[in-house]
Amino acid sequence: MTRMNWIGLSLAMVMLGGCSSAPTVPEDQRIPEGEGDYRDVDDLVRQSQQDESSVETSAEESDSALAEEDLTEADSLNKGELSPFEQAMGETYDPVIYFGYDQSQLDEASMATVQHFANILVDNPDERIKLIGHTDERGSQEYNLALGERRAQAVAEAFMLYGVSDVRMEIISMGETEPAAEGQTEKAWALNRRVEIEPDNE
Amino acid sequence: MKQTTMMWQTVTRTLMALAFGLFASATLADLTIEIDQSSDMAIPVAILPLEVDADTVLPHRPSEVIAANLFRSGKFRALPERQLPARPQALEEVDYGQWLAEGVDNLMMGRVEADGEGTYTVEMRFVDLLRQKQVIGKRWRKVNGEALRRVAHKMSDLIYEELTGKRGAFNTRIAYVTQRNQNKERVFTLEVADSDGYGAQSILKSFDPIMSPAWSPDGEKLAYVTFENGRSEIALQHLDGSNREIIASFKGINGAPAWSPDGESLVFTNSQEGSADLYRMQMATRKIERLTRHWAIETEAVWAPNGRSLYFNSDRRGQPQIFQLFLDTGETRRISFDGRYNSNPAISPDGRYLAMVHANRGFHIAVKDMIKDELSIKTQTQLDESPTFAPNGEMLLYAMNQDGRGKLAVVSVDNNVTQVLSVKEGEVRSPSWGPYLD
Repeated sequence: MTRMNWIGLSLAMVMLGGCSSAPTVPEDQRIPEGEGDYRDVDDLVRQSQQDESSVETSAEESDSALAEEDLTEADSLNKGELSPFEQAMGETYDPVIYFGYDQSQLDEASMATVQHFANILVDNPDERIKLIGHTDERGSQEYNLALGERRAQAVAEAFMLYGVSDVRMEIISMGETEPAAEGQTEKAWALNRRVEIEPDNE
Repeated sequence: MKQTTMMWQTVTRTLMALAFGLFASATLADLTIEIDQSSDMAIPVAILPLEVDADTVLPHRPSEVIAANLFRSGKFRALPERQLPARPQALEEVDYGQWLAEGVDNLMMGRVEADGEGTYTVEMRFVDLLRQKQVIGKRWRKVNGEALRRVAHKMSDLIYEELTGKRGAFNTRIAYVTQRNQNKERVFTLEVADSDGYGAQSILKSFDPIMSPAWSPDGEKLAYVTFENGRSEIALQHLDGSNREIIASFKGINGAPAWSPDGESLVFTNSQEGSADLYRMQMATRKIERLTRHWAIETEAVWAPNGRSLYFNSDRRGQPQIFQLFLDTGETRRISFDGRYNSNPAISPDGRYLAMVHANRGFHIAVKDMIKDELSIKTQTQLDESPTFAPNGEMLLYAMNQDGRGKLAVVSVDNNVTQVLSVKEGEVRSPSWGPYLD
């Protein structure tokens, strides 16, 4: 399953189930020294997801004019594809861990997020995940490729602390190549320094 | 081999130009010079338009190509055409006093003649006005229309060498990556263009990121990082389109390819043992050998010109800094000491200057003079990265961000004169300056 599909699915679940996402980015612990004001980073996370959802929707609308029924069918098909594991993973926490500038440590809130997903994995021993590490665009591309991997490894180690074997986790780094937010602002950079936790269906 | 199959599996998302220049959408990826920031130090030179028969229309004006080249060097400026006091066509017609009065010590003149076979004969003379003598006289025959630019670059190289005593590097090529949006999907291309950014040809098009192209020393191949299989791998592609394969797809990240000066091995970054380390691959056998063993990130290796050591980035002291690894003894020493963040090294061809990304109120390109042990910041643009030296070491090409777009810039190493290069649509990054063409 691709990242976009996963986000689409988790959003669909959020909208259908009416349950709201718990904050994954604590307001006070996100701020690396001297890097500006991060208090509204949580709103930005939600905002960016809403943006992505509107992109998805308009894309569907644009190419579905001739077969509205097909879309409905496809829609229910998508819902049917959600395994209990996937539903559990999307329920209360956004599957993203954020980091400070040039940092790869997890704070307490991030550990709570990992614990949440680790519990789901412990309950679903056949399931696997991908941990995809990202950085902001500052500094060199190749160092950022390695830094993204280090972040994903740090998240994997946290999963291991909560009882998930490393063979169930695939670590990938995209470096700075897949920003979640565009623009040269501290806010955008804060959203881009992240590890995404994805179900691995391959 | 496995790699070949992989290439065809991903053919829908990644397209290689089967022959060099198959993607003919050259204009889109051409680099255009955006900002002209002249230097007071630039020495005026007279570059006369080449004389052409009245009924001949040239596809390119060599004098303009030469003028732009000299300007980009930061050392020279061609007199604007309207300021030329005369248009002598032969040495006997040059009024030396007239030119010296304009403050010009050197003059280029010449002619282009259609030879009746669709090609041209190009002639140039370069005159030292102080010594009142022709110092360069050259003729090229059977030049086709597009090759007029190539000849203009060769002329520029001759003039540059005459004026500075250093070999010119205008007749060279550069590689870079472009990114633009197409139907809400990101499209990446790997481009090869002339050193002035003209004549760009896409050698790869992909919906997944591409980065870090590295020229083989013979200029015939590029190694680069591709994400076409969902993770970083290193591809090797022949520019003539004869072959492309994934050469590093090991567990973990695969990045930062760097050719040895003899072209026989490639150092790259891989993390199969947990953290990013440097590895060397023998190109003949594809055998790999681990060069660094450290829990820290070790990446971005470049070879010293003599092939005996590597400069690389390691954050073993907590933040990225440049180190040198001696290949015979395995000894490592720290090279960068100024500031908390120094990464992405590039070494000048004579081994004297080490360029790097230096963070100090922003990310800029700094150059360390290894003999004087002095660091100087060369750029004032934003988010500067990926420095790459011209093969004569006189200019640095690098990537930066301006108005929210990734662009390239050229800075002269001597006097910091900067010019910005950008594509018409989308962004540019990951520049790499190729070797001399002949």
